[in-house]
Amino acid sequence: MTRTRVPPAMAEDSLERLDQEITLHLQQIDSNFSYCFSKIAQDIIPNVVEYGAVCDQVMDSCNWLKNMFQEAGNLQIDAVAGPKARPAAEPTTKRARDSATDGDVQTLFPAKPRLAGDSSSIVQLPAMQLKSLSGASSRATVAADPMVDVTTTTTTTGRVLQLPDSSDEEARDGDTDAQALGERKLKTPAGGEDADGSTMQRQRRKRKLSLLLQQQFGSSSSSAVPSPATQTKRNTNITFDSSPLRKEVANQGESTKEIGAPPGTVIHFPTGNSASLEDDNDNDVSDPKSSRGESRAGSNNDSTR
Amino acid sequence: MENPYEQVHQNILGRIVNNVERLNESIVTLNQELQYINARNTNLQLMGQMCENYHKSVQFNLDATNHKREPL
Repeated sequence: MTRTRVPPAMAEDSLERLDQEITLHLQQIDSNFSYCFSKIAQDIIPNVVEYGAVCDQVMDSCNWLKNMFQEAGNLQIDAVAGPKARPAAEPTTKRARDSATDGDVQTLFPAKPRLAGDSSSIVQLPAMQLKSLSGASSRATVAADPMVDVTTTTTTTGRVLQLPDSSDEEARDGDTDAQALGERKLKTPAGGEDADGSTMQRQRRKRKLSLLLQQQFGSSSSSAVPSPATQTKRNTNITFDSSPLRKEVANQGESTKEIGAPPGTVIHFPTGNSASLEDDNDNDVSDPKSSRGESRAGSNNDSTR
Repeated sequence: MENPYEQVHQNILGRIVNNVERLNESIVTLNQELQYINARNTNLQLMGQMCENYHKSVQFNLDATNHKREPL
């Protein structure tokens, strides 16, 4: 009713005006949408694609790092969330690096833009340098010894690092033969690589170090103790005699006499390290001194001889 | 009398719908590209973390063994 009172000219004018405003607003909306579309399609997507290409280039450059870490920890690093098969490798590598850090740093990162290739070469070098670092003369002789299974990430000792849990021991156990063992003991402290993935290996290294010390300064027996693995198998052998296994047979009688407690004096590198050590502690009555079986053997030998 | 404006309005609305449709498609494409790139970058992220950890452990070891030297 009020509209009828408005003069029709004004009403038409207002209608015109409103229609034009509507048209204008719609056009503005349309232009805004087209502007957004053009912005995204013309500027943003090409830049994003270029960014992805650059990221791919970076990843290609970093592949050698990925391979290095994989071989070091015997891992598999996938692009998906769960990369590390054995996370225990990482923290324990610190310990491995204690002896190997300098060597590793010197060898693994001579120049960071490194070629993607020979991880084997990396494995070889630190052993050499580690020997220099360790400074043991006996160890130096090991230098020439084969870094045979480099591709399989063996330490210089010939350990197969692929299976940090038990493969080292298995390797040791498998190679109870004399010569390699003596060499390995020399090698192992120098060969503490990143691949040693557990405290077990640390303990082994410690034992081997003590063995070496004993060899150099210890019991009347002159030469290196043969394989601890063999000792563990026999559980009663003190093998501080010069030659490894071969003389063990002859010395078994003596060793059994010498040892009050059968497994106690033996240098153990069993699969279950702590347990065996504890067993040794429990069993060894004659020599309560040392916490580990290693020095006991020396003392036993000294006492008996 | 109102028809011409209505026709104009309808035309403009049609154009708006087309623009919005293209805009949506472009945004979907953008999202896919970003997803691809993000997936590929997780590897890089892991590399970075490992390098960082290695660096930290190296520093720690050097400090612990007194091998650390002052910077040149």
